[in-house]
Amino acid sequence: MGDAENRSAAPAFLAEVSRLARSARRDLMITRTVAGAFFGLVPALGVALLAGTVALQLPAPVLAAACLVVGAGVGAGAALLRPTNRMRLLVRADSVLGSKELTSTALELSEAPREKAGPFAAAVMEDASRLLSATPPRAILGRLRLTFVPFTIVLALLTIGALLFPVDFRSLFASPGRDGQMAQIGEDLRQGGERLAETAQELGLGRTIDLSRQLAQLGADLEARRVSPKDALRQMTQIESGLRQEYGLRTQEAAPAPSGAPGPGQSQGGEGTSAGRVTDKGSRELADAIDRLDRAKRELGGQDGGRGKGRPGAATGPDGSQGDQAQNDQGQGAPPPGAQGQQGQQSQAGNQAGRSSGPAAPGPGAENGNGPSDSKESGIGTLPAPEKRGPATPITPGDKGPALQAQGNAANDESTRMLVRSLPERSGSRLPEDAVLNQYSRQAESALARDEIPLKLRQSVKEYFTTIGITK
Amino acid sequence: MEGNAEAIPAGTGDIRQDAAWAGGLVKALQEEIGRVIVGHQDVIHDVLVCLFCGGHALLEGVPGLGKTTLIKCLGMVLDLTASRIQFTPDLMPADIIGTNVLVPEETQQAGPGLEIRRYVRFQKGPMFANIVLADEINRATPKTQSALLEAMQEQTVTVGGTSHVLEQPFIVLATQNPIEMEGTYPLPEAQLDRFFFKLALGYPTAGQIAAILDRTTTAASVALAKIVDAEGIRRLKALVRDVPLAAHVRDYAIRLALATRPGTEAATELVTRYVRYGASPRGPQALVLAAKANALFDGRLNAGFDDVRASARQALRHRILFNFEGEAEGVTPEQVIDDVLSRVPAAED
Repeated sequence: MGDAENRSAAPAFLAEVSRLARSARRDLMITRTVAGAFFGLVPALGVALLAGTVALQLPAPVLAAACLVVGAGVGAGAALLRPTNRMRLLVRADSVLGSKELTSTALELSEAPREKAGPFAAAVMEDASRLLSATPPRAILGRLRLTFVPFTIVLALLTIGALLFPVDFRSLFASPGRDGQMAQIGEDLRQGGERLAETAQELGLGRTIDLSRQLAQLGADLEARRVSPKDALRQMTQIESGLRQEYGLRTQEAAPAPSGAPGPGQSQGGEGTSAGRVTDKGSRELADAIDRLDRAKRELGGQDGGRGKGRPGAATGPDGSQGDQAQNDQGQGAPPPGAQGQQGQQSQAGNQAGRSSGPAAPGPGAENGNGPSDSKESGIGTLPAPEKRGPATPITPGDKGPALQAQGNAANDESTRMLVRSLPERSGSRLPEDAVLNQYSRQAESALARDEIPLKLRQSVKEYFTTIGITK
Repeated sequence: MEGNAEAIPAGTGDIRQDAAWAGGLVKALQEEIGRVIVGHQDVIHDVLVCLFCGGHALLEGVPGLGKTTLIKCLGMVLDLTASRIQFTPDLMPADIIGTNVLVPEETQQAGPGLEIRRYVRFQKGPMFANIVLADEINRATPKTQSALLEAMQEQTVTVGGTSHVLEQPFIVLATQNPIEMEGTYPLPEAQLDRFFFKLALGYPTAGQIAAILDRTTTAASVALAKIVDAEGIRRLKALVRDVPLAAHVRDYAIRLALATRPGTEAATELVTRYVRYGASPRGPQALVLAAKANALFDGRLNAGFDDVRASARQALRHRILFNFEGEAEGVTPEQVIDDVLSRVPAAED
């Protein structure tokens, strides 16, 4: 075997080696691509599963497909970039074919300098070339190891299934009762918000429109459970604050207080004012929305119930007119604040007030009363027990708040309204009781002077303040 | 040459034909020796491997197994000079390598009478032969044994400051008896290491004994033919060395040798516990050369892992020295080598 034979044997042998190497690379590409697709499908499945629960920036199928493509691409790229170790390949070939290291020795001889190859080189390469050409690459490489294929198929099916049938996992972990309650609250708020929005649109109340829309949106979010109770409570507080301000503005516009004396003055002019407010649709809807919010907060957050409980619906209506509302709106759809549960019974408000003993300050309406805990019996008192209220808030002259409203039946079956102006405080009284007792007493006396107050109720109010005065 | 030798063509220059010739030659030698020696085909093969690799063989076996006969037969089938040295305790180095002797020379001088003059002449010992049978080598004293060192490694003998080159090919075939240790001098490690192979002869089977009896207890005598001459052996030795052996096969031989050394990373648990010294670099040398010869005699053009494994026992067993614990436990070199073979992977990942 001379140099010429060496030269002719080497290319033929190397061509066979290249053929085998290409097959090996193809196998590697396939296995790596499948493996990459498998690892790409893992996040794809995650995306598909989250799609039903979380709002994604891009469509879930697009994201899942992107994960799959990236995974497969990385696998294929890794296979492409990895150089084929031909010596290892031929050692494997020798092992599989039992050729006693013929092909690997031939490869070494083909790469060796001619003077070192020796007289056997050409013959060895010829034999190796003949052996490789007679052997299909699959016989050397073995079956394509597609270990990941079944797992990839399973993952792909799971991903497709998750994309086709999205599941909201929150529903799996949330209690049905709680969800139903949230949906009800949401529906209630949404309806209230929509009603208020309509009214605000009619009346052209700019900010109220915004707030009502926020309220409707919050209700819709709660219905769809797109918002957590904690966030909902926070938003409710914000909306309620805005609505209260709006309500205050509305009531000021409807019943401008006489300059000077705040409470009593309000009270004196209250009758006409009260009548105006009651007939003011905007205020009524605002009050309704505030009440809905208050009720929603109470129902939504047990932890927030202190304040909620301190705001008995009947007693804490923003304008205290719920008794009137109840009477006026009976059978007219959604009841206004405090109407529910009262059903026109005079003592209901007092009962609620008497039961409300939350540590937080009572609602605006509650500011006006110092109802003792036994007001339940009296049926008039609308305030929490004095010892459970916070300090009184300083009263700013001219400051108006939602009026306390008591209700009762006049002797001639006419509805009687008593409006007591209160401060728009929500965080509790901050003044000592003694300091405001006289003021409230005067407000009550002026209210009693009105004709519409039933005699029986008038007597009760007198007794109430008398009792307080005696106690103090 | 006579007999089968006529049928074997000389080297043609075609490597395939040369390889076929080599395989046929070895087969013919085995068959010819087999006409006298019953069984021991593997030993005959290994002796031929030693011969064509340029190494020496130490044959160990109980008396009566045909060690000496085998070597005598080898001398007969090879067209080479052979000598036999029976090693005894009183054998001196000069007895085997030769010595300078005074030789008288008669010269005619002017004058009334003859004057006898003497001069020193080197008298070659039995070492100056192509095949040296060192029978029962462990019965000679270490001094005499060491006289073989230079001859076996350097293929030269130095006497009186003059080196004498031994005839080529040169092969020492030594025998020793493993059971009669009294009055013997175990070969030192340096001496052992110079043997390419250590071959163990086992007892013949019943059928083999019957054949032995048939051949030795009758009047029939066998005349062995000379198969190959010195030139053929030289060519075959060169051919063996030309057999390609891939680097990863060579590395396997190295790893095998390293695995017999305690304290190395490759050492097995058995080696670490029982072996004091492992194979020297002559170990992998023998493994690689023997692998090449095995491949060539098998008609293949390259050596592989199996060829290395085939000669591992022969090449490594006399290069493993046990510590006290190993000696006390009666661990054999074969156990250690088999353990190494089973634990050292052929191809590294």
